[in-house]
Amino acid sequence: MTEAPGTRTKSRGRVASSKNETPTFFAAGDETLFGILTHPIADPVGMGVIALPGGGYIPSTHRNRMWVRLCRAAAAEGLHALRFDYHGVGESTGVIRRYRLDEPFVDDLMGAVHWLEDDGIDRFITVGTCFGARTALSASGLIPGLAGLALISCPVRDFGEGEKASTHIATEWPMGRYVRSALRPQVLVGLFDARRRRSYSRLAKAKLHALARGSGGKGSAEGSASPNFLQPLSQLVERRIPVLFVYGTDDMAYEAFRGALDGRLGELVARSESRIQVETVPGLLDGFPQIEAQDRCLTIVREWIASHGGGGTPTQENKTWTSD
Amino acid sequence: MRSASEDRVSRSLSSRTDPRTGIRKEISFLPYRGSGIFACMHFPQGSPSTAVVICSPIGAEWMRNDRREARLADALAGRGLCAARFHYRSTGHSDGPPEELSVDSMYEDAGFIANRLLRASGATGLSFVGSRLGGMVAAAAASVTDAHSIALWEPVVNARRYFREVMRARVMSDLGKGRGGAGASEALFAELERSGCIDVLGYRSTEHFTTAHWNGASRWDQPASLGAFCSFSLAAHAASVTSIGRPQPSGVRRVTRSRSNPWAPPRRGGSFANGGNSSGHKSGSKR
Repeated sequence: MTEAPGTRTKSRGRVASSKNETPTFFAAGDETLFGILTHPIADPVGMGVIALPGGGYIPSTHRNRMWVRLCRAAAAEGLHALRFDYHGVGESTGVIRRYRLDEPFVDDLMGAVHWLEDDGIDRFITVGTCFGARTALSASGLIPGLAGLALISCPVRDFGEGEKASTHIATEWPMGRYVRSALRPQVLVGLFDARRRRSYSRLAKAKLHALARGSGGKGSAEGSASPNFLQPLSQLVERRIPVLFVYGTDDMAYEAFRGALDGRLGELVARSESRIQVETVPGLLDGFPQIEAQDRCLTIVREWIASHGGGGTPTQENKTWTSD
Repeated sequence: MRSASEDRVSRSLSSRTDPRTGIRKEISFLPYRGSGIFACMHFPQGSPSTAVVICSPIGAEWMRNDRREARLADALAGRGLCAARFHYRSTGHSDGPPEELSVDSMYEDAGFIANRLLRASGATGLSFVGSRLGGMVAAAAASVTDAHSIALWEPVVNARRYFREVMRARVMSDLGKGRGGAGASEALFAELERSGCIDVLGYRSTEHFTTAHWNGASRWDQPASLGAFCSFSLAAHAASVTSIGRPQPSGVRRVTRSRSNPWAPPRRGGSFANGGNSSGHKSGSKR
């Protein structure tokens, strides 16, 4: 699949359309997932981009067709691009019991990878946002042909849907403040309300988990990043696989990411010899609620993909890690 | 039954039959006016008598409703009807730049999909289901086809009011971030006029799309198009729509939210979308 630099037909400025796309069903675990494969409109480079949406039942188009635009642009770089619905979302089968960052949908991503491998594609770049970013990160050790990850608004801590506050409290508050807060009269009155009782229970469990991990409000060697985040990232550094982090400056995840740089994450970034790249755009990226931030993010990711295995002429450095 | 010519024009058809229910799902890009329309058709076992076209909302409302509509289409196919879901041109997986989206193009797409579904399924009856802005599209499409019934799920009945809500959402978002304030709506309209489009929570709202409905009554407003043509309409606020296709007395039924409906998240506010105008929902008979 590898070609000599300079012989490639480029389609810069052109984007693919539905004429270049194939809707498909593929198996992933016990479920059948739906995806759309965008075929390259430039000479194929034998690499696939897999776009992963976030949690919260977001279909494979993503907000404002972000992944449609990304996949069609990637096709102009000679890449195959697949966007797909997680199980329980869109046209895929199954039911989602819950979204938790420590239980990402690795089976779904691996189903997509194996389906593309059957099509003769053996190198991959995964692009994910929020929950999708953590899924891409968690599955990275299972993909031998991984050529890079673009992780957008990637959370560094673990939490489930609706558990952000409790996780934050559990990891950030010291024990004394935590107990004082729990003994406030309004909290005790709240124990008579079933909904608030469940909320307190989640918070107490999060605190116990945090204490068990040794990060319960007193800081740990890992900073405030989860081992589920750090371990695969560490392996990527070892494998010399490039990783792009993109955050909105207003993202809560960015604040946590910056905080975590004081710990082991900072060491990994330093050890990566610039293979871990961090970019920011003004505003919010989590959920893509702003068009300007969407466009800037897409530009960053597209340029990064092009320079790391797309239709751009590979540099000497790129060639070392984009080839098997 | 599909003809050879239809097979030629349906690009890249992907099909899956559920081994448990026997429902066949066909997904393809259907070429229409130079663009590919993403369409998903749900066929039951056996020959369906009625085809149902589901007209989605757009933007964030579409993202929230997409799975529900997929389940609805499966449920309809489970009852022996065939159903089609689709993405309007310039939205979702379909082709087209965002600035070309209009209620006219949405309505054309719905009519096109209705024709394709009728031809592909061999059904003789036609129904429409529309939710939010899709309700407006469904009502308009039903008015020019042989549709015998229509179900509207929390429909937009007044385009001007809908766009005011859209603007309000953006203003509230700005206020939450400490921007905006007095005159924010005016500033948004000025921005819309100046740049041709504004950002509403990550979606483009174009001047072309918005002001067409803002300046005076829209020709798509529902009381006119709905009342004039449908022999049976069901205007539902997040309530069961499984009565589609069953013969019902002529006239519009207005159904309020049902707590027992598993698809209906409990919401505050009135029982009918946008304070719907009940006086406008008098039905006439088409035939």
